[in-house]
Formats: sequence, C-alpha cells, structure tokens
Amino acid sequence: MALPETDHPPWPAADCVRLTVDLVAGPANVRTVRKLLAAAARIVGATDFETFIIEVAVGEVLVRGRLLVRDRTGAVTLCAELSQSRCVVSVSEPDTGRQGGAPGNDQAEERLRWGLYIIAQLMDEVEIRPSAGKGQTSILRLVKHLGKDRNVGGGA
Amino acid sequence: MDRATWLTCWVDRRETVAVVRIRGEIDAFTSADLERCFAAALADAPDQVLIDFGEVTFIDGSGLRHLDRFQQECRDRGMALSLARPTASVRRLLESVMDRMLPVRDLSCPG
Repeated sequence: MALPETDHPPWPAADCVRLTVDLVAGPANVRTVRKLLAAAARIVGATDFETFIIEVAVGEVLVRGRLLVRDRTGAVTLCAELSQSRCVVSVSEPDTGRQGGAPGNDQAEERLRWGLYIIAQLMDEVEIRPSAGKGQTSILRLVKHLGKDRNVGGGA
Repeated sequence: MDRATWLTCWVDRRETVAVVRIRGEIDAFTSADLERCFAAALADAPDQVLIDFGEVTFIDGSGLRHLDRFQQECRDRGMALSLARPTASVRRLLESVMDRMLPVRDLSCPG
C-alpha cells in the first residue's frame, strides 16, 4: 500500500535554520528569542561577533514593540532564516487599528531612534514596511551577511 | 547566573577614581539599573570613572544609549571616563556604534 504524501515540505539542508516564533514581547520572551537566534547563528557557523550582533539586533527589534504606541499588545511574529552566508530576520506585527505610531513621550521616541540607529549600524540591510492599515501588518526585516570576518580573527 | 538577577552593578571607590562594576546582561529591562549606577558613580565628583566590563555578557541599544549619555555627562563635567576588560565582541560593538570610542585601560592602573 502506498504511503500518503506528506503535507510537510522537504527538510531543509542541514546548514540552514528556519524559525518562526509567535511571541508577546515581554522580558522573558525577548530574552529567550534573542538567545534562540544567537544559538541558531552559531549552528550555521557564525563567528562570535556575528552571533553577538545578531542577538543585539534581534533584541532591539523585539523591544521596539514595547516602546511604541499604547494599546499595542506586543504580539509579534518573528521569522528567521539562517545559513552560512546570511541571516535574515523579519518581525511582523498586526495592525489592530489602535496604533497611532507615536510613543507619546520624548524619552521613548529617543529610545526608538537610537534602537533604529543601532540596528542600521550592525545590519547590512534594514527594511521597514509600515502597515497599510487595520488588518495589515508592519514588517521590519534585517539582513546580516555572514562570513565576512572569518578570516580576520572574528572570534571573541 | 543568579536566577534572581540578570544584572548587578555597583560602584567601588579608589581615591579619586570611581569604578563601576557590572555583572550580567544589560538590556532594555535592566538598563535602568545601569543608569542609576552611573548616577551614583558621579555622586562624589570623582576625577575619573572606570567602567569594568569584564563580566558583561550582553549589552543592547538601551545600554549603549545610557553609556553614550554617561560619556557626554562625564565630558561635560570634565571627568575622564574609560573602560576596562571589555570582551572582544563588546569592544567591537562599541567601536561600531559609538561616535567616540572610550579608551580601554587596565583595571589595576586606571590612571
């Protein structure tokens, strides 16, 4: 008797990690997910420094949800694909129609700007796609090319 | 890592040098403690402040922001500020994002 075809896609190559995580961006979850991404980076062979800055950047992206407008739930979805050559992380947040875009205080705005600056300094590509309206999602996508400093003593 | 605390920081004083000791992870949820520690370091108007990064295992944008602001405040007050024992990754991170990288000194000879 023939076995039923699976609905699951083929297993990815062993040197590629793909993750999707739904989380509410509280302290424990943010720390867990940034460390998860750091572990994934190590598994695909990232250097100590590459791993470190991926963890920093992922943490920054996840924390942003907590700083933005009141009424945000902090619920986001993180998708990551890591290989020996690059790390791609996308964080998407559903637009519930209640976000206004402005944190409402200077300190939080400054913190947001600083966070974006950090991300831009560390990542090779940063893309922000704001939501088109209620029911849509806003997406922040980061790309880090890996392996550039493996020949220059990139370990910590 | 002590389960109860992600970050511990305190100030040691050696004559005219305030040494800020930090242990653990500086992130968005602990960086307020770091800010308080920085304020405490300035309380007795030291000539120099040395930040011991030897046991800092992680620092994110909020920690870097507080460090940047502290650097500015020390500059405004005419106090020398330096780092000690940053790991290679922390040091490279700071070099990547700080406008002016802080000098790195030996912990035993901050002068």
